[in-house]
Amino acid sequence: MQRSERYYGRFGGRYVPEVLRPAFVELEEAWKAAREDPAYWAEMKRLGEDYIGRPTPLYFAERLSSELDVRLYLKLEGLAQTGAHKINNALGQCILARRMGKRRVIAETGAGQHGLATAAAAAKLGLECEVFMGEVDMARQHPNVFGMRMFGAKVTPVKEGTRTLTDAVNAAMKNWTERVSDTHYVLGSALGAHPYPEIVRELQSVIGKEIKAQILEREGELPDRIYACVGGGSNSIGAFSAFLNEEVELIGAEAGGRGSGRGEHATRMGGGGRVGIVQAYKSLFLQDEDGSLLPTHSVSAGLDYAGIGPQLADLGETGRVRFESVRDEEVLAAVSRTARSEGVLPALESAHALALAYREASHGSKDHQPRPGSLVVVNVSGRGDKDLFITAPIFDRADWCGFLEGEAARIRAEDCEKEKTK
Amino acid sequence: MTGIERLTRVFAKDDEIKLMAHAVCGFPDLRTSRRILDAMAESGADIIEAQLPFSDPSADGASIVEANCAALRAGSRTETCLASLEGLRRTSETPILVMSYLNPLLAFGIEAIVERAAKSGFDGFIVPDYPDDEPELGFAEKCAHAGLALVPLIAPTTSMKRAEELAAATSSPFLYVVLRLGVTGRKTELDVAALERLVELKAATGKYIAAGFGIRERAQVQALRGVADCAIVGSALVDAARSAFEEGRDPAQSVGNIVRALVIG
Repeated sequence: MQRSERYYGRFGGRYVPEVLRPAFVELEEAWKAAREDPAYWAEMKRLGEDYIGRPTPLYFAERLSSELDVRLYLKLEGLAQTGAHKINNALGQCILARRMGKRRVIAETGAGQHGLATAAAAAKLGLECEVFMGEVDMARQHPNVFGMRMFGAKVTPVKEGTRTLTDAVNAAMKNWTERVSDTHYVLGSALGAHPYPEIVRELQSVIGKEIKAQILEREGELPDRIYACVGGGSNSIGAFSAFLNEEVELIGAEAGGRGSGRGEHATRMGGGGRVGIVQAYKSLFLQDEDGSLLPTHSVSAGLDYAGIGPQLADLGETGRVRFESVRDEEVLAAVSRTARSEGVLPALESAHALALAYREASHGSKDHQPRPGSLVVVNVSGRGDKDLFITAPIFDRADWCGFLEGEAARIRAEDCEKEKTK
Repeated sequence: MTGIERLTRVFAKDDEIKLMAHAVCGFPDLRTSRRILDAMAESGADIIEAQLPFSDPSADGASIVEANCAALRAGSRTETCLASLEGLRRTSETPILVMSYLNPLLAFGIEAIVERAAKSGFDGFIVPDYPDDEPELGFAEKCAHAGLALVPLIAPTTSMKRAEELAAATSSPFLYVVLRLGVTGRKTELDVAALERLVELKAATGKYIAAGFGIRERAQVQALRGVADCAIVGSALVDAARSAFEEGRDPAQSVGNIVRALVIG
């Protein structure tokens, strides 16, 4: 294997422990074979249409367009099976696992969207599935925990470290070292050791390919700009990759959290990240002087991560992708605005991209204001239903609390009644 | 004398099985950690493996992960750990291997950490996430040039052919052989196949063999006698330090007692 295949500029690589080396060699061979196999892509296309619901709509946001004086289109990945773009990758990797003769898949998850997608794809393909999730994330994302269990997956709480996404990644890697022979690790973002960044990009590139075809059909021209949120980077690299060699401005929205202090955000590209090698890849990480990862914060669990995919780090460093950060309160305002103006409830992650597009297009915006009539696409990577337990206590606090208490009381009363009649 | 020479001398001393004792620097706190290191040396550990605490120790089990977190919470830094090991070096001849994941070394500077280790009289490094085919950091070369051992890890999934290649490429006098799949901690059942593999590895590579992962008891060390040149004990010592610390006993004494009990001779 050429070393250069593993790198994007100075980022990437395959810094895996010796025990996992054969698994990565096997994965790379299987992936190369699948990548060149028309039957693999034919199956992806068929299941994409029948099961995922592709192509997802590219929706003209009419009211927001006139408010902002641009032509705004929203790519509605939230209409995909399990509510986000994550299923594109999860299904592709589960099919790959089956090709490799693996009967079991594992995954890490933060917000639970990748875990949910992997659990669904595994159920569909008859594979055993175990999802590793930080204890803190399990507590704040319980609906997705329930969803994964409905799909028959085992959800294993991770009790080490900060008990969030980064620890879930470590736990999944560790589990893989125990079960390399029968297990494939379905990594959910465009990061980790080679070949994962490439696999995830290729499986998510369907987003950008569809945007291109749809916008050309609707407008007869390519967009001026595409916005996407960036955690690890799977939806953004998926939306951007078809346009890397086109004259289209590509903009990534990072989690600005609640401030610029240590541990208050997840802004890796805006000067906060330093070069490091963690979790088997070289990229920019939020880290302290001794190389330990810093804690991060974001209202959206999906962007709450200290690293960024190596290709995006390179695209940022070379200036091909412009990165901006968006704070929690701006994100919540964008959720509300999108819901009320367009009847689309975006995920908190995706609302970072929307908030940035609104900020830059607003009247009186000083930086990066698009010229009037610009063609702007925002990748709305997921829908907001999953965030109910985070957004409801913010937007509808008293009522929501009453509802939860009432439900708990009702369920307890029902159980009590059953006990009596026994 | 270089680290490589000092390590070689330890292995060549006699035919008895050696003991490598592992500690997380700065755990449970920096002062106690220094006393634990001293106790290891005084109790007859042949090599000391001292881990630089890191937020994401991806090859370690729960016990050592928690020790890493606790050390960081207690304010342990790379610099304070190195100073502590330099203190140990002044009072003891026991070889010191710095165990670290790649990122703390990268943050310190690859050139700088190698220079510092050589200057301080440390003997080498164990770095579980530094594979041989990502060479652009030049870490292995710099170590060899400074007379420091960069100890290769051999996993259960490593083929004999690859083990031979890794052995041929290293200036380390010994290989760190991981006895089972998974992470550190859980006790390993030493079956015949595992022991035979150690003998085979030694014959094929011509290197001394240190075996670890899940070695917790004297009986296991005895089983390795004549099969491996060195037994590596980690989580069992970290666990002992933790329970002593939590119960108000002296962690250094507890660790020293276990090391003494494991050392055969």
